[in-house]
Amino acid sequence: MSSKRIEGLKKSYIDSKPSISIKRALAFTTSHKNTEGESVIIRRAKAFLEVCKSIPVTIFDNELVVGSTGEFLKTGIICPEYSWKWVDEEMDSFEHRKQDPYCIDENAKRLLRDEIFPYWQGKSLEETFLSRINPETAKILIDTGIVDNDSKWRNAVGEITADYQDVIFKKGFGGLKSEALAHLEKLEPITAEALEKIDFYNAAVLACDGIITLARRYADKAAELAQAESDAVRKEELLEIARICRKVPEHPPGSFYEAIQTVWFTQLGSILSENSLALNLGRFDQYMYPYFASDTKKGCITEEKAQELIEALWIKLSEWVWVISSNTAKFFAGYNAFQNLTVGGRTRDGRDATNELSYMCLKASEKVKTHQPGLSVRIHPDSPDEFLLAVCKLISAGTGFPAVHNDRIGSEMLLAVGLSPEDARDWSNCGCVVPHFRKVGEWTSAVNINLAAAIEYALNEGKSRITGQEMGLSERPASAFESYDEVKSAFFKQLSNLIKHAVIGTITAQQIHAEIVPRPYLSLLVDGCMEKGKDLSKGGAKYNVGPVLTGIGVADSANSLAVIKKLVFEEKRYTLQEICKALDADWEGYEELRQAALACPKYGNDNDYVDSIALEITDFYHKEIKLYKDYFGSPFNSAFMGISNYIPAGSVIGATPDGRKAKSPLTEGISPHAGTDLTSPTAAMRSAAKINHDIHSGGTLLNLKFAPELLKSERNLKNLAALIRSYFALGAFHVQFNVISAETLRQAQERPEDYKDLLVRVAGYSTQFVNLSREVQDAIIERTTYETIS
Amino acid sequence: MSNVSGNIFQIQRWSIHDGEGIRSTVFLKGCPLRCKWCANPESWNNAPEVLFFRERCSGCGRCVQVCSTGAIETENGTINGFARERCGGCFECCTVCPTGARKKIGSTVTVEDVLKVIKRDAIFYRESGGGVTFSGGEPFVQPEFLRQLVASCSRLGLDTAVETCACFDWDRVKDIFELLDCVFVDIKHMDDQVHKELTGVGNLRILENIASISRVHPKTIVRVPLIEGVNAGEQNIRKMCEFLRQNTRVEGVEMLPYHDFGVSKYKAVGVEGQTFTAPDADKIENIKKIILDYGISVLDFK
Repeated sequence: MSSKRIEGLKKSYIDSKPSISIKRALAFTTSHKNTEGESVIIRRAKAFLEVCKSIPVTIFDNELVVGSTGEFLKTGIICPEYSWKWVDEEMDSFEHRKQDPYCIDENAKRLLRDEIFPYWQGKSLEETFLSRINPETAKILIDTGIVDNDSKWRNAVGEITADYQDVIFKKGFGGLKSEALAHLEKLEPITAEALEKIDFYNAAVLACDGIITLARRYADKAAELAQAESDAVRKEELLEIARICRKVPEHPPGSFYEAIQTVWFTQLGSILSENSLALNLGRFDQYMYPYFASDTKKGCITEEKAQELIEALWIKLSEWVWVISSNTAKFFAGYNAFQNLTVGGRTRDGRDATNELSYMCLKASEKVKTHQPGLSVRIHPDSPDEFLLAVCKLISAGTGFPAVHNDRIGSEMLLAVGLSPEDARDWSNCGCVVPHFRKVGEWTSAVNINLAAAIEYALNEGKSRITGQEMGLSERPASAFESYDEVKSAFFKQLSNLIKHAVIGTITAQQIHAEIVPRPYLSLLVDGCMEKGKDLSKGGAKYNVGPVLTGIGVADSANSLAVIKKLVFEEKRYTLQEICKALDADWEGYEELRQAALACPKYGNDNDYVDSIALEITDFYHKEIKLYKDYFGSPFNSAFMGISNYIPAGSVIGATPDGRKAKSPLTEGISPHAGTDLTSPTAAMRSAAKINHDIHSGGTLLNLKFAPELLKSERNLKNLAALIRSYFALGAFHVQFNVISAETLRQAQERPEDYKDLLVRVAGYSTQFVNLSREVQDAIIERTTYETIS
Repeated sequence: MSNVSGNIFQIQRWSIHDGEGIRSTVFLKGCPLRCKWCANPESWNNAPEVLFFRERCSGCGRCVQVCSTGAIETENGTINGFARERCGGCFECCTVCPTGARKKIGSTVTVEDVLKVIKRDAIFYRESGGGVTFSGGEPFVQPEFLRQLVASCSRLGLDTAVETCACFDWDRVKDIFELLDCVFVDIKHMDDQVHKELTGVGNLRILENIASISRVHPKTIVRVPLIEGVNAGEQNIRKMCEFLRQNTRVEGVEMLPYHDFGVSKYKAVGVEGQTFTAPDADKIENIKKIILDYGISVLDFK
């Protein structure tokens, strides 16, 4: 149980409905109307300052950590400068849509339509991008699900990790402001470079003023509430909040409590500046530890109090709501904002870094059960067994957290993109599973590339099997292929073409971002920008790492090629034309062929026949991507990750030779395709570990499903820990365990063929759920449900 | 060594309830017992055989065409039955069956073949303190094959365990026990006559062997399949405990409440199956108390 206060905050959080506040959009737009003609970065900094001066300041009952994006407990904000058309089109149905609904009042809608959207007409990032992207690329890039980067032209980038260690906790925003002013003292507008720098530093001063102003308004509010407060204890708390908000984040924090409030204000500034995904919290247990240790030593904080503050921050991180279109909500269901927080791992000089806070963060996630922060852990050979067991215990709670990462492979991925050894050891996780470092500027999720599309186009003369439209390269028909190698080459050729368009989409977006949406506030949080006098969007960070192109459908592509290799060219049981006809018919009338295809070796069973194809595909993907450099001259990076993008990516692909039906989901990251890893988790892990993880610097993702039964006892948790350590010893990067809910088990009863791999433990041993009788299945479901509630 | 071969019907990787840590369990084919509640009736016969799941059969007739001994019986164009005794064991019918209704169970493999699979998960055994478990069927039905398997694993430093019914000629296999790291041995019933009715063989030799095993092996664990109305009565449990106290030094007893996973397989191997029930939770708790009262540990690998 959390403290009574936290339980109360959690309850009001759960009970409140997400609501749209337009205060931020209004202030941001009004400011822009008044700054026409000024430089873009100054305009954006002034708009940020205006937002901080005018948005409602709200302290909710009993809060210890304060600051909100708007007037509601769960507030979603709108950023029309990035895109607004979809809001205009969809906001009338916001309240009633099934996935992720929001409340919005009529007055707000009127203001948006009358005052806000008309101003951005023709100016937004979306409109600029669509007018500039070359038509040939647009055909395959815009809302197709084939090569997809809409998060880089409908939304802000996000994807940064604030540098608390060396910047915010050391200097405070007051210190940053002084630094900017000192640079300005030395600069004269006599060169083009100096002009740019002067704008940058002036914008930095404005952005610092913004966040300091917002904090002071909270100090005033707390003082005002304190005056009216009749409860003596709460009165004291409010006075303390007032004191803290007057001090931080202008000045460096001096205590654990002050540091927590600094983190939240810093985060709040990031959200208000661009409302984006993956505004990461980095290595929280590391940068907070000095405050925890010193407060504990001085006796001015108890572990309970520190735990309460951490949990209060967890709730704050979950309160703000990312506003997205109904289409996007299908893929990012649950208002997830991907604010990743990393614990464990090694110190900069390579020693074990696990501390008390690492455990307290796990505990916080287990107790408050909020969907934020996204909790990640770094595990290395010397990570304490107790820590890994605590991690396994949290996994068994079934929240999907934490994501477990191989510390050393994360470092190797960052060494490969040019970080120093110390910095590479100091990594934290970004968004989904991207190893990241706080002094890095990088689009960690630039484009999703649909690998299964390359299979489709290779076998169908470049045409989509669903629409018939020519999307890939128009090449020879399937009947012309005389060997497996020819099929494989055709696949690689189509894939290269998709990669090329992903590159075009990215550098076009990068160019536009630098031009129209510089990031004056976020540039304060990332080391390097201040020293260089250069915005993050222009390459100001200490390190610029090339954008990450994520491949989706490794398993599906490898399985498809394996079927062709085996059935057509080795066993000669079917011709390629027959397979293509079956795919055109979505297997209708080709059941025997489909069974033969399904019986071919499948990736995820430790079968070298097909695993070697997956390896070949991923290696090729890496080499091909490395041929290109981004807007700043950094080589692009490969990744196989993404939590839910495999669903939309599958919905645009026809039937594939592996036996998959048209429009059904592909496979996430480097996981085996659902229902095909029938051997064992160890075999699935061995298959996944055959891929060269260290070269894919954008991260690799393995998702395994476990029934709660398999994670119940101490013995099982130890075996899970051993499973993780073994997988990492094999050189793999990340694994996440989804504990199956009763709901999923019910789905498995309805669609057994999609859940063939689902293992459950019944009486003395584990077995595949779908192989059990309906009665036994029902019994397990009943028990699972019971366990979830208790 | 590697040319010794034997019959197995499965190698289950990530076996986590058959001993310590993460293990691979090798299921050897063939068993001298015919326990009425057996969960793996496909393990009884020593030779590879055809399992026929009638409910999955689509009646396409492909199997009839490839069967050279006429073992597949048809009536008016539908597959009616399977005359097991006529089956020549070519397994062609299993290869051509598109629905999985005809499945080959068991294969003849060499020690080397088995090791190849086992070795794949070596890293998982090392990290978890696991290893390899030999089960069945009854692994001691193929003593030379088992001996070579266990010896090969030992040479590789892999932990080995065995699950046995102890129905064997002790003198012919006692050397194997010296190589094993852990022994799981079943006690089904303490009454010789009842044992014979339930399993087809009496228990005298079995109990004698258990005593012999426990004399040479410090890590011997007794397993009891708990079946309502069969062996879960207080009297039988007390007799077992007395036997164990007087004749053995086993590490403890693990109770395995009956489950009915095996039922669907009975028809597939052409045998009439029977269902039982497990004792309820209170009764199991009571049995546990009785065992503990005798100063015998109750273990579990769940």
